[in-house]
Parts: sequence; structure tokens; C-alpha cells
Amino acid sequence: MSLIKVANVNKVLGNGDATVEVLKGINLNVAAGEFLALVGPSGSGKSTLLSILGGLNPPSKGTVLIDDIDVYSLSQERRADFRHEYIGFVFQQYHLIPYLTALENVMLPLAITALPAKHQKEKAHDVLKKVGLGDKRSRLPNQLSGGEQNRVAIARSIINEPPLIFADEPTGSLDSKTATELLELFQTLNRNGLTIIMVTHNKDNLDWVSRTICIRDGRLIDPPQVA
Amino acid sequence: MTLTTIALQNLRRRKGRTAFLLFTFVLVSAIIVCLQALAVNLQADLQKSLTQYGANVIITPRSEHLALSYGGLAVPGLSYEIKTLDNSVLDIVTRNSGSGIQTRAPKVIGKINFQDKSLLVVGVDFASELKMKPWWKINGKQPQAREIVAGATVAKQNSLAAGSTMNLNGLSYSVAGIMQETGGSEDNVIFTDIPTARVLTENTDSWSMIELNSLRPDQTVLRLSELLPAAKVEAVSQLVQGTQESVDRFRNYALFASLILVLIGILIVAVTVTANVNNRAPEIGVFRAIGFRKEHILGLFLREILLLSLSGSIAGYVLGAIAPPLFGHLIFAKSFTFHLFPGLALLTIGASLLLASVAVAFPAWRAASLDSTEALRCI
Ligand SMILES: Nc1ncnc2c1ncn2[C@@H]1O[C@H](COP(=O)(O)OP(=O)(O)O)[C@@H](O)[C@H]1O
Ligand SMILES: [Mg+2]
Repeated sequence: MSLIKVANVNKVLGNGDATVEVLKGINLNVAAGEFLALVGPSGSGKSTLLSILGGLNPPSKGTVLIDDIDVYSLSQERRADFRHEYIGFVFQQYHLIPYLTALENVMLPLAITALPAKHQKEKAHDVLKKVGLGDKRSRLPNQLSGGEQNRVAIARSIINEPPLIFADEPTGSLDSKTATELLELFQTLNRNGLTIIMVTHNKDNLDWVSRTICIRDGRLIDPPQVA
Repeated sequence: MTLTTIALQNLRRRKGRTAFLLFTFVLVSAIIVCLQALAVNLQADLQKSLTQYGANVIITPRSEHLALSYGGLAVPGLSYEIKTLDNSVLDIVTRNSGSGIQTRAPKVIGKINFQDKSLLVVGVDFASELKMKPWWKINGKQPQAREIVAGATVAKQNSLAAGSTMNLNGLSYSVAGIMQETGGSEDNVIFTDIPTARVLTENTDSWSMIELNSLRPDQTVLRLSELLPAAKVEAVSQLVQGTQESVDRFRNYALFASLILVLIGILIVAVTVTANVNNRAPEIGVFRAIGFRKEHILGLFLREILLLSLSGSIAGYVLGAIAPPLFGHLIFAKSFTFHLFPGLALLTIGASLLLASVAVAFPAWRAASLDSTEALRCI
């Protein structure tokens, strides 16, 4: 049983004469519990594919089914609800909200739920502890190191307990030691049942994942040929 | 955490922007309330000086005769023995007070005989009369039925004092008080209340003259002349005449200035908020990716601006209302009284909330509607 089914996805970007076919006939199935790496050269369409999988970016052609829900047949607002329920994002630049503390950033997905403030705080604090930042909950993002911001971003993506995590080059701006810590964290989360799709550049990261898929010029290359 | 917490944290931690917007709201509402406070104070001043000055419109019967003078009392145009004002005239005046009439003082005036001399009796309603003539000072009290107040000269000539009696038309009347010398025609007459004057002068159905105090004497004269063709309605020229026009003009200027200020305020808020919304595109992208709906984003921006405009306009209102009484004397060399203006307060705060929401709604909605990838382009 696949959690994610991608069928014949095409994506054309740009307008007028300057259109580019960024994704060309992508077919992909991801089973629940996989830890998937998406690799490929810069500009090959990794981020675009991830945003399409994540319900952020409608494909030009093709369908994306997650948990048998046709994501792009949903209205924009229903798709927002869907993301809230199903998906946690970790962006490359972490994108923490600059005027919210670490704890508040982690609580963000709960702000649109009916969970009482006290429980929100407890939950966010627990998750922050899980990523090793229990003592830095009152810091603003600019008072945290890159690795710490990254862990806050991960805490934010998992607080709502979504079944899926999408991470776009999460180790891109981390030193190798911090990167390893992050991958360990992902591995733990994955062993606890989360399905993770991670875009990465770094070959070393591939030791940690359960499967690697490669994209080149908008096409998946199967089997993976990462040289 | 709720949307309100997020909005508050943004306001708290982006102090410069918050201060700037807050300042705009405070300034615009303060100036508007301040202008209004000045206008109200000017109006109150004018009213006070107009009333203190006394009657400025006089209604008398139309008469071909020249002004009569009797016992030193000159009543312009009054030919009390020949023509009078119908009782209905006062009703008509009362019903048409719209042109700024503040006080009406109808009078019954007539001649009676007292010890072989003629004496003028003036029946007045003391309450309205004293409003227009605060300089009338009575030693004693105001007259009731069968009582009179004697003018200073009359009292002197007849050795009257409060408590003595006068025999008029075969009835005895007690002297309730003596009016202090005014140097005017009041000194030579006796005053009674209106019913007593009607008995004394055997006049049951008419007024001799009606004095009015009006804020806009010219308008009042025009209007009443139309309504009362049988009467003569005249303005008594006064120094303060025309001042109402200046106050009205000031009010118009104040209103105009307020409108301009409101426009500038909307513009500042709209420009600031639009720029701010655009700067926050990545942030909005994150909110959207996390699963915030459009209404959540719009709600965030509205909460921010409503918190700002609410606190700003309340502070502005308080400042605008207390500034004139505190500092007015420095500029205008006169003291100002404090007014609460509950209506204006509600209007200022309400308008501020409404206009701020309108200014923020469009850019916020546009931002919330951005395709998440557009917003996340820079992510
Ligand atoms: N708005 C756009 N218009 C045209 N081309 C775009 C647009 N956005 C991205 N692209 C192109 O799409 C391709 C894939 O981009 P992306 O998915 O970000 O690649 P990756 O993440 O693998 O580096 C790149 O060649 C990029 O230049
Ligand atoms: Mg990319």
C-alpha cells in the first residue's frame, strides 16, 4: 500500500515564449514508513517536485494521491487543511518566524487548532526537548545557531504529528557534525513511523535513508545512479 | 497560542513599525478631536457672550405711528395703546426656534394710573428675562401674584421699599423688591409677573412685545418676518453679531481639515501595510504551508491593525480632549473647559477601526491569495 502515488506529473514553469518543462512525466510511489532521499543536480526540479508532493504547487498535468486523497482536486483552502493534517515541512532556510520565540515557532501549527494554550505549551516544550532545545525555548530565531534553528524547524514540522515530513536540503547549511545529528533525529522519527522525503545534495546522507531516487532534467532515473 | 498572540508578538517585537503606525493613529485622532474641542469651546463662548448681551431680535406690533415714549421709556415702534401682538405670535415663535433662538421674553406693557400720574406696568416672565438681562438686580425677591417690583426711580419718587404696598386700580399690591438702578428705562416702570400685568392693564389676549435672543439674528428676523406679516421683526445691532458665522466657518474648516487628515491617515496606513505585507511574503508562505487558511492570514493582519488603531485612536482621543484645557490658554489666551464628546469618541475610534481594516484588507487578502509557491519562491 503506497502512501503517496504520483502519476504522470508534468510541470511547466514560466509564461509566454519562456516556458520550461521542469518536470516531465514523473511516476512515483512511496510506501508508509519510508525514508526517501531525492537527489539530483541543481536545477533538476527537486524542489519543484517536493512542493508538488506537498500540496503547495499544482502540477500542470498528472495526479498526486496521498492516503488516496487526490490532493489537487481539493480547493485551495481544503488543501491548506490537508497540509495541516498530513504534512510537516522543513525548509532549507528553516524559515522560522523572526518575531516568535523558539517555543512559539514550534506552537505555530497549533495556533489554528482548538487546543488550549496550556496544552499547546506543554506539547511544544516536549517536542523542543525531543530535538534537544528544551533550554532555549525563549530565544528568538536570530539568537539561535543554524543547527538550532534547523531543529526548531523540525520540531515545528512534527508537533502536529503529521504522517509525512518533507525536507528540502535540511543539511545544506550545516557542518557535518550538526548534519549527522539531524539525520539521527530524522532516523529516530522515521523508526517511530514517520514517512520522510528529503531532498539532498550530500552523498553522505544517503547512508541514512531507506531508498534513494534520482532526478535529472525533470525525469526520475531508475535505478538510482548517484555517482 | 492564538492568532491574537501571534499578532501581539509581531507588534511587540517590531517596535519601529508599531511605533510609526501607532503615532499615525494617535496624531490623526488627536488633531480631529482637538479641532472639535476648540470648535465646541468657541461655540460655548459665543453663546455665553450673546446671552449676556441680551435681546437681539425684537417683535413689536406693526404700527404707522412713530415710536412712543412714555415716562422716559422709549419702546421702538411700540404703539401699545393701538396695536398689540396676537397671542398666537408667541406660539409661532416657539414652534420656529430652529433659526437659533435661545430665549424668548414676551411682555405685557400697559399704562395705569397711580396717584394722578401715569405709570408704566411691564409684565414679564422673570426666568427668561433674567437670562437676557443678567444685570437686573432685585433687592428683595421676584414678584408673585399681587406683588410688584419697582424700578429704582419709581421707588425713590414714591418712597417704596420691599414690604411696602401700592394701591393700583383700587387693589393693594405689595412691593416684593426694588430693582437696582440700571440707568435705563427699567428705572421708571414697575414690573409684575405676566398674569398680574394682564389684570392691571386689562389685557387678556395679546403681547405688547417679544424680545428674543438668537444665535443667528439675521436668519431669525428673515424667518419670523415671513411668518408674522402683522408684526414688525427687527434685529438689534450688536457687536457680537456675525460671530456665529465665524464659528460656523471655523467648524467647516475643522471638518475639512479632519477629512484631509483622515485621507492622509488612510494613505499612510495603506502604504505602510502594503509594503509590510509584501515584505512578509515568505512568512505568509510559511503560514500557508503549515496549513493556515486565507482567513487565518487575513485575521492576523486585521488583528494587528485593529489592535494598533484601537489603542492609537483611544490615546489620540484622550490627548485631543485634554490638550485644549491643558494648553489652550497658552495659544488663545483664554481658558478651555474639558468636554467628553462621547459621540465623537465613538466616531473617532469606530472610524479608525473601520478605515484601518479597509486599508489593510486589500493587501492582506491579496497576500493570502498568493499561490503558496509564489510566496515560497524565496524559500
Ligand atoms: N518561476 C519559474 N519560471 C521558470 N523557471 C523556473 C521557475 N522556477 C524554477 N524554475 C526552473 O525550474 C528548474 C527546477 O527548479 P528547482 O525545482 O528549484 O530545482 P532544484 O531544487 O533541483 O535545484 C530550474 O531550472 C529553475 O531554473
Ligand atoms: Mg532546490
